[in-house]
Amino acid sequence: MAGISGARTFCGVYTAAQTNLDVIGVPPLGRRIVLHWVHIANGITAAGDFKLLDGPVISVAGVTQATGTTTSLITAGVYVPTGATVVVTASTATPATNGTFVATNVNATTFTIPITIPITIAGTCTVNATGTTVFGALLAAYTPATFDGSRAPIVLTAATPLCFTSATATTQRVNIGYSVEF
Amino acid sequence: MAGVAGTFTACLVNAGTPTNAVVVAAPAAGTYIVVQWVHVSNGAVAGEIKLLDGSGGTTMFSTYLAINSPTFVDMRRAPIVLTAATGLYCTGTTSTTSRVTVGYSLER
Repeated sequence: MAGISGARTFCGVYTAAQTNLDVIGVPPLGRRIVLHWVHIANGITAAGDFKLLDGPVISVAGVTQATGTTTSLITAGVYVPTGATVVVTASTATPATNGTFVATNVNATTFTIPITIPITIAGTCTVNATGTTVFGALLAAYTPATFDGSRAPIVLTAATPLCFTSATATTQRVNIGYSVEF
Repeated sequence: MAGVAGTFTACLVNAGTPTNAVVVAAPAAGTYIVVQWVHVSNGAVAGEIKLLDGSGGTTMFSTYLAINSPTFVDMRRAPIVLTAATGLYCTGTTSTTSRVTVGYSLER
């Protein structure tokens, strides 16, 4: 048997720390990524923290827009799916801008949200209300961690990419067995 | 039966740094290797061990291991599928002994 229907594998070879790296892209509308196994290995020199995220975590600061315009939240290397729900938690706002918006204009590095009131965003912003860590490992040098999800796979939010963030500047490897399901 | 029909195992014993060492030889045309599980262990020097889709081919699996350390990955629900008529190879950076054992099937 070749595993469950549509199963695929991925092997990422990285030589430096990563932030919100889009290791498995956004699945088609209504579908979600399911992780059946994960093997992350830390390389030479330094211990590190490795995380797989249910979508990217986007931080913004000092974005100010006038009423009736859009605002661009730019985070290099982050892909934000069209139609993603964007939750803004502002530390300062006039008036309060905490709320839920829907991304309407997307490219690889920028997305916009409609603004109907003057806004200053100086907080954090997550896509699809996620960015949640679904797998994390603190690893010494030359140490791997393996997750076997055959009995309880990790299921991501629909239409959300799998992202990888690490806090070590050394070499690292990310191996994943996954499928894309309704 | 002592196992699942059509499944096999192979064990590569490396006495030094492996470079495109054969773990499973290439099957016949139209047949491809499906890796169901992997067990890798390392000897006296820490290092990286990779499994490749063919000699010098795409890295399908990679891990780092400390001295005298093993790791096991059960891939049965999402196995590594190689290119048809292509062997499974191993390349590493460790200059000491290592072992690579795989469970696999041959499919068309």
